[in-house]
Amino acid sequence: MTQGKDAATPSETRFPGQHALEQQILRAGEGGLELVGSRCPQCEAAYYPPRRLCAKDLTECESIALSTRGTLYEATQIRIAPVGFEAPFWLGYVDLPENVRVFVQIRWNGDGEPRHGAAVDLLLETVRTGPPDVVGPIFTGPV
Amino acid sequence: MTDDVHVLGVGMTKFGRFPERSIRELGREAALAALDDAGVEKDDVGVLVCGSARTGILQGRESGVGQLIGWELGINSVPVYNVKNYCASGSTSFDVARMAIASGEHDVALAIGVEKLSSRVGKGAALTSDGMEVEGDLGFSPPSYFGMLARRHMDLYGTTREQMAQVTVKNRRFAAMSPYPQYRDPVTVEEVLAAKPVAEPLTLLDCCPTSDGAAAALLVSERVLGRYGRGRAVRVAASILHSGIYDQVKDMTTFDLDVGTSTAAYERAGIGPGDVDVAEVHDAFTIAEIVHYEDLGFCAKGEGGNFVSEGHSDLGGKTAVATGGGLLTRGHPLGATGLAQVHEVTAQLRGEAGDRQQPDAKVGLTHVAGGFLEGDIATSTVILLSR
Repeated sequence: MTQGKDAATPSETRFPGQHALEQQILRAGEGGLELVGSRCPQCEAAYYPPRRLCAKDLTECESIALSTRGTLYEATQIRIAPVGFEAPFWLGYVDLPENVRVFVQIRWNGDGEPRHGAAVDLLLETVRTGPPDVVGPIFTGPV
Repeated sequence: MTDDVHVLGVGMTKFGRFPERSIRELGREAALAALDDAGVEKDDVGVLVCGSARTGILQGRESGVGQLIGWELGINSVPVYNVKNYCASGSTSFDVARMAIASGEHDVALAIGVEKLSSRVGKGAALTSDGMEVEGDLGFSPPSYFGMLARRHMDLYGTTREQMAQVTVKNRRFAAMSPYPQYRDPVTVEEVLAAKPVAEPLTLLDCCPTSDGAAAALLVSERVLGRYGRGRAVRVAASILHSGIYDQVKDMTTFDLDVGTSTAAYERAGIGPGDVDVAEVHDAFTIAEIVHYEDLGFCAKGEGGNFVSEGHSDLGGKTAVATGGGLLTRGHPLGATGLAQVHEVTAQLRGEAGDRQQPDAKVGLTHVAGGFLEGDIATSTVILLSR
């Protein structure tokens, strides 16, 4: 097994941001920023956040851009904000077709509340105000 | 197990916010109480195990908390094991002490757990959960996880906000009967629902408070039990520690890790969940206690809300839960919680729990589910004690 740099997020495709979150889960793709996961070429298992070795067979994983449309698993409205955030805001888990579940912020533009099963689309925008501001995944709906 | 292990003594401090008290002082008080309760001299202690989770970032003491408290107690030269294992640091120290005796290596072990969360040395960023750095940058905190879990449980099983609130009402009622919890005033369902919202649908009174404290247990082997007197000893029927499974795409309303840990504990002890008379579970949130009823087998999946509203977790019920007040009223000083649970269950099995005594308690359970790693709970401990 080669022991190079973290293959799940090759340095040449990394988002140029300085923050650990951006370094770990974003990359600059041809069409703009992408949310990054990893996939095992041996058993097809997908992971988020990306990991270098497959948890099942320790094969070196490939970096993949994750789907931009997913299904809301569940969400909650945060009413007491941690430092760097402004309440109220929504957090949630979104299931993606790659069979990964991502923890993200939710921006709900429709009536009522975001509910289990809703289709949602990915935005990569500021998730935390700094300094420095941090860019990360926000899923928005209704689609 | 190669040999039976017994809890001979327990001790704990009052839990609360004590900015003026140090971890060494808290640990010393709990350990001395356990030695006194056991009737064991400090020089008889053959091994010391100390659990704490956040003393590095908060008190500037990453290593050697066990040696520090040992020094306070005049316990030196013996092996000291320092344990850091998320919320389960205290119950893990219990398990290490148990293994030290079961292996035949030692006969008398002192397990200590301590934590001080109300203040910190120096300044720094807010605490995030170890293992959730990516999520922390998005605003993650444990209430957000359990807020989602609550919504899912309500959706799937019809669990109500009132049923969740009844957990706090029950645990506060128990707390009033114990000298140790931080919050001992009774509350009503209406007050829980009207409290400040934290992460929908959870309010402040659905969440455990910030707390400091320490607890300790003195464990002995079967070989030396006769020397000290068997009278108030409680037998360790099982102590199981498992770590996370880390399957992210799962039903959030059940912790597979806890199901596996408790199943292993019941098998080890040769009993079933129906035999458990009294339990201290990881009720960091009201909905967590409800889910733990289900995962620990006290009731069927989805029945947790009814389990509390029908009184099954109250005194005289199938399994009285959180008679010591639980995390919801004591607070959750991470390293201390697991041993505070052992303290309460030991009191119950001895018949020394006073007004909060579960009638004829013969088997007790303690449970901690601690930490997060990539979206899953990172560690789980289940201890079964019996008389």
